[in-house]
Amino acid sequence: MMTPTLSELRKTATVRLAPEEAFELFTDHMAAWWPLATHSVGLEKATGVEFEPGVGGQIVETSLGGSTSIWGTVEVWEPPARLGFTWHPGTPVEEATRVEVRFHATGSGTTVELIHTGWDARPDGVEARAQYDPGWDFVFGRYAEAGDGGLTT
Amino acid sequence: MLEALADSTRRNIVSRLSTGPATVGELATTVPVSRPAVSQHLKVLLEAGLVSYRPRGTQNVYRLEPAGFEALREWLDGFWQDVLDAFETYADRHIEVRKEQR
Repeated sequence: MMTPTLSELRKTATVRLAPEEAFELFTDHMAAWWPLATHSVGLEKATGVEFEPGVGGQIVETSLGGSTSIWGTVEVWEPPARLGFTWHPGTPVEEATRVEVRFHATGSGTTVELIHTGWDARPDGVEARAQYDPGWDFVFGRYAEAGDGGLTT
Repeated sequence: MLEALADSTRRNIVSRLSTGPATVGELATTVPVSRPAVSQHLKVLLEAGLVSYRPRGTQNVYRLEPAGFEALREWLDGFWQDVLDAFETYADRHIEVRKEQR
């Protein structure tokens, strides 16, 4: 049976920074590098994004006029190796997906591996997925729509 | 296309169809919404290119459309590629600035 699933998506980046620095740049300084104008809820109206540190911290976008959008909530905070957060820009929290970011030290820097998973990691497996929430792991809603223009850099 | 999946009922329908083709009536027994609501959700999925249908007797049998999912995956891939490219670019600049300051 053909089963077109969106299995986990992995992307990597390599930076000439120590893992500690790469982790800090990714989180504390997210606003400095995130392509907000094309990859946000507010697009050109987006003015910033803040990554609140620690488990339970939120990733919050701010827009002109003071409105905010929560992109997700931190679930794993293990500097400098691992970071995990829910991901639901522009959609309700119950439709969240999951992103994990791992920082591996290499010879001259750090490899940053981003994993967007396809399913909620439920211990009770397939049945739970079918009954509760299939948890398709996409970037949803307006955020996604927004990205249509942002595919080419 | 992503908008189509920003709804838990539609994701449930997709989940059900991933196990095999089904009619509206069959789908209505697996999701907690009425048949007209299922039809409405299917319309959105059809327009997004994520499902297709073939007539069988008086009913339509719906199935997932692999090409639609491939496009979705490509979109996501591009999204994260852009984000990580921006991160790399900034990190490189960050290092150059730091070198100059030394």
